[in-house]
Amino acid sequence: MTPKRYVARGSEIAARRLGNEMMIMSGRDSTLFSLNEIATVIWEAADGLTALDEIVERRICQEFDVELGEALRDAEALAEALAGHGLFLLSDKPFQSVPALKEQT
Amino acid sequence: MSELTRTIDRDIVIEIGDVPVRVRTGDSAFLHLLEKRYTGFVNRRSYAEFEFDVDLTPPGDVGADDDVRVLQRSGRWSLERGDFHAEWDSASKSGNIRQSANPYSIDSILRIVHTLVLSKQGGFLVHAASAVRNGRAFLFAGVSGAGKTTIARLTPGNATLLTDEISYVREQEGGYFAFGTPFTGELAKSGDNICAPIAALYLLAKGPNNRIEPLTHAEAGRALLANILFFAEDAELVKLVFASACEFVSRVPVYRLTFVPDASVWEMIG
Amino acid sequence: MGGVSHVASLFEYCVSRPHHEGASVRWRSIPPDHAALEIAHAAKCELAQKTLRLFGSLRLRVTGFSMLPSVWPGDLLLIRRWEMEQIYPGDIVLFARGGRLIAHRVVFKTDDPKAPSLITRGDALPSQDSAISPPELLGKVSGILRAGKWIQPLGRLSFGARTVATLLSRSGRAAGILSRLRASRRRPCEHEALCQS
Repeated sequence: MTPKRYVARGSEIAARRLGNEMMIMSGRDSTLFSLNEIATVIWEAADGLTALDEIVERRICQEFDVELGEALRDAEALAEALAGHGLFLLSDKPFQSVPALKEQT
Repeated sequence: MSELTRTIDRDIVIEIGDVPVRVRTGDSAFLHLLEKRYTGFVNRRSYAEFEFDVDLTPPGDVGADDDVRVLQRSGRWSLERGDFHAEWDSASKSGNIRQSANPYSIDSILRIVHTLVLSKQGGFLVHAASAVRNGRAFLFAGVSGAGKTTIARLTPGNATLLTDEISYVREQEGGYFAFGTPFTGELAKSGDNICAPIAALYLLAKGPNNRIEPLTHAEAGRALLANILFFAEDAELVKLVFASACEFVSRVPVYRLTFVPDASVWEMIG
Repeated sequence: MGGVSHVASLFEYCVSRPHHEGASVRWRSIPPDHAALEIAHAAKCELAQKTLRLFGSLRLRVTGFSMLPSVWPGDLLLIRRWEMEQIYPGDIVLFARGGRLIAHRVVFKTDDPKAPSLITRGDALPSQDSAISPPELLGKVSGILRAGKWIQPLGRLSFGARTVATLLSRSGRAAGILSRLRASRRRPCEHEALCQS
């Protein structure tokens, strides 16, 4: 059985939603990321408590009419890539505490 | 009254973006150079928000760097490059500068100080030409060669140039204002020392005909961030600038302006 | 605009990294395959001029031989922007001419405040350049990086250096050797503008 994957947002970042896309700046090295609409869904749902496959099934597959297997593979690749840049934290268990989703007002 | 024989400190107040900065020096020749360089932005009044004492060193670099380092330690900022060393206390708003008698060293220091001040006010400096028409400011951003100087050169008689290269943007009174600056590019002409509320930001592109297209917030955000000037390695300040840029594109219309390099482009603006 | 990394077909994101240009940090887009960009020589020179004008500071890699033995091909020059009234004979200045950037030594400066100009000459060249006007002047060399060491440019040549320079400027054979050397050493640099000196 594939182990569960939990994704949480990193803490050393600044993020702001512009339209349907997420602009994220890494506090480490000031690299700027701009996520498309679908990737933004993952970002906003990454509370550290919901497993990635649940996020994909509930939020991606139904809304965007895509097949679960393919979407989950893509989502895992995204999570790993962004974790490499410090935007995400990955774990096989739910996170105890996670930075809240802070919107700039 | 007999003349005093000791060196009398003289000063000059350089006011950009409504922020007066006093520069104090004992060298009247250097002061004269500054007055020449900042014509139009020199203020005769006594009030200044920030003050710098300048110690002039012989020409020749303090160090070999041409990259500037801007660091903060407990509210005390240090600005260092091969040709200058400046320190500044953000609480007392005063500092000192060690440099040779080159007004262009002060130029860099002033730009850095203004960027730091602006970042706390939701503002920023950006690579953009700007001009005022009918009481409203328009910004034209783009990389080298995109057409900033061209658009600035084509400014019609009923518009006033603020800058052809570095625009000064501040949030105030619930909106965004652009200010004229003495920071020029190829045009080599200082802007007028005025300000106006910003009506729009245009991203420049060259093309066979004139065209204005709206951009999504995200496209606008990426484009603005690619053109913002920022120097500090301070993570908190960089985040402030990021937030300011995102807030700006959420409130000010941003368009792509494709244009033919002749006066007809200005018929679409203002 | 900018580089798009396709992680997967559904999820896309753009990445921009800070790019040090002169004295500023600017976010620039990364092309997806990181291909080195070929920039035309003239465009590089223009960019170098703009950087110097804007930020007061620039580094240039030397490719020419006209300033031997003071400045060698491969040297990295640190240029600072200065006004003409603060330039003196003996200084090495940078100016633009015919789409090229040239760094030569000032041999004479006119006194006329209404029409200031500089006369320059490459140390190893027999003849002077035509006068430089204030708009053509870009700045002064304030340091030279050679083999990892920073050298302050001297205001005048030592006796030995002057002898070498005179020999070079007078010898047609030396000029021939130099131009063959020049051809073999030319190499494009991505981050430093080329300086024909």
